[in-house]
Amino acid sequence: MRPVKLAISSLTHAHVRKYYATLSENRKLDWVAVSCNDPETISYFKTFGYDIPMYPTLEEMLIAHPEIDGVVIASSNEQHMEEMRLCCKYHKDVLSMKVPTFDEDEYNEMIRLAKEADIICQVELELHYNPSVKRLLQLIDDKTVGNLISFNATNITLSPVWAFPWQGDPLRAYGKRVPLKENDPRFRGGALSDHPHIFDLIRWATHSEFRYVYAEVADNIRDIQEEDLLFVTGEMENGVKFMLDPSWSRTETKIQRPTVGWEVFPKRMEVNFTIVGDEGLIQCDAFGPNVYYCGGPNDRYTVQYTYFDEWIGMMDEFCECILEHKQPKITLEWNQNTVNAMNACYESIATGQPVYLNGGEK
Amino acid sequence: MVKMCEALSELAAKYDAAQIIDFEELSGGYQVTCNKGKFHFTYDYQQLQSTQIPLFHWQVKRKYAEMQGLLKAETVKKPLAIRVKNICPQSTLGGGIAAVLLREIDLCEQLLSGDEIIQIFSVPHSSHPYLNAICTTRNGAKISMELGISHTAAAPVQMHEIVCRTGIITDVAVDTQTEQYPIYVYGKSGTAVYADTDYELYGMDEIQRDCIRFMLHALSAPEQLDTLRASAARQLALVHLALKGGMCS
Repeated sequence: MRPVKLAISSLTHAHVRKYYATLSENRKLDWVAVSCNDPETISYFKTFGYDIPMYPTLEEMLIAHPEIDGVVIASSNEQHMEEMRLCCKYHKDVLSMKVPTFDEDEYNEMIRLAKEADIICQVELELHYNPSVKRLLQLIDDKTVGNLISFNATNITLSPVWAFPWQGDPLRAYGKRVPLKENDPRFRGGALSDHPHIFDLIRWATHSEFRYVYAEVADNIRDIQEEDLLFVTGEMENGVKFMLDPSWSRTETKIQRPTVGWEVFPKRMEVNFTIVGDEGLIQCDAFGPNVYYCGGPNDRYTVQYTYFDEWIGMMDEFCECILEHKQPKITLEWNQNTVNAMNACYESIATGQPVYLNGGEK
Repeated sequence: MVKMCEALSELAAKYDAAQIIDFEELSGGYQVTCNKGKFHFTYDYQQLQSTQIPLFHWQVKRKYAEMQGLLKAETVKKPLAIRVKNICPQSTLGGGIAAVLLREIDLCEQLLSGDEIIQIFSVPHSSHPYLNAICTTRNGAKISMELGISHTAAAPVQMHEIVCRTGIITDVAVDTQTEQYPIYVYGKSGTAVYADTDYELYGMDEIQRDCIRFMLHALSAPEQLDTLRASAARQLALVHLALKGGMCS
């Protein structure tokens, strides 16, 4: 099978370093080029030592390299629409970051463009390629703990806003400046916008859609423009209850580049599940156990992640889909209800009321 | 077996390690025939022959690579000592207390980037597969080992803690005493645990996964196998002496 020729646009997303590693190591892939116009990001990229041609814009890259099969759109959220348009114009398959857009009209436009251009568009929800999550979904499907009563999950991390400033800018993270609620100085675009995974996985685990969500925000841990601490509860259409925590409740050092010593709380990212069934209970830690150290640079007790390879399986699927021109597990269409649920959480925060989805009634 | 063969063939092709032609399970090991030749991997370490490759599957375990990486990156510096505990049920690969001691000698040398153990004071039990030991490396690091086979243990009690001048590296989380797992199921028939940590080898047991990863690594760099064999022979000689008790070097 020929190697798939891939490129990365913008280089600004928090996950982009994972793509550097995956694209340079996976023999199924031929990493052709990158595009970036931010001088600071360019100089940081150069420190990795990859010998990859770089272009100031996505379009210049696509014109210079017509052999590109697919593009990893690794830009800030507000740029996704424009980059998706370009990829569709040049008929390039797309790996979209985890939130394609929060704007419903834009989202529908993306679906239309991708369909018309007949491209593959996979949404990066890498937890599907986590072995513990795969086992968890299988255990639930096998009714190991009987019928589900409640799906409870955390996707709690440190805040990336110091290392990836676009995530602290409501316009760039959410696409527009929407106040969180009346008499609140904060805007949408924070921790909730950063953590779609558990809103996606609950749909796979329950084989159901959201009936309603109810969300509340706490006062912020950090002095930033967006929410960083919130809880979400509610019910799926099949009656399964849930409690979700998509917060930035792990603390961090305000450094400009993710590196050793970034975390203050020992574990920088936790995705944990408590699955309650009528015949038992499952506890799952998607990123554990690990190894642990106390050492440089701050002499803090720290988790050294040991199993964190989701990008391998995800890129394998993307390549296979490109070569066989078939749709991936997580398509734009599938992901839309996940984004709708996240927007419903913002609406619930704004109104103080539960928000019913999918035509559901009170 | 078929699953192991398929998995190794797939990964060897994916990562350009080799083209697998044949995979055979032998008594005490596996034989892999590929475009690079014939490779006889054995976990019957006591009978290790010069043409065989000791199947030191722990060498490719990610957690140990991460621990070693922390030292190599100098996140934690100047290792002084290691505390090792490995009291486990009999391995599916067999080998008894000698195999446990060999594993831990090799693993400690790996964690210390090749700093060889040159002296052991051991206190073996005369009638049970159990042994305590204090080892010394060429660079002067001390290693305490508590090793045993427990026929009643359901799960291994394992710990590797590297004590350094500037900090500590450990594979046991603070305030826990036993091995942790990614998944616990508390069901009607008691508690079950799952340890799926390798997406590419999903569904295989831990030893199988480690063996495949080790064989893949060996096939990727067969030129390093002579060093591995020589090292294993030296370590085995040390194991035989240590099992007698007292000081050996």
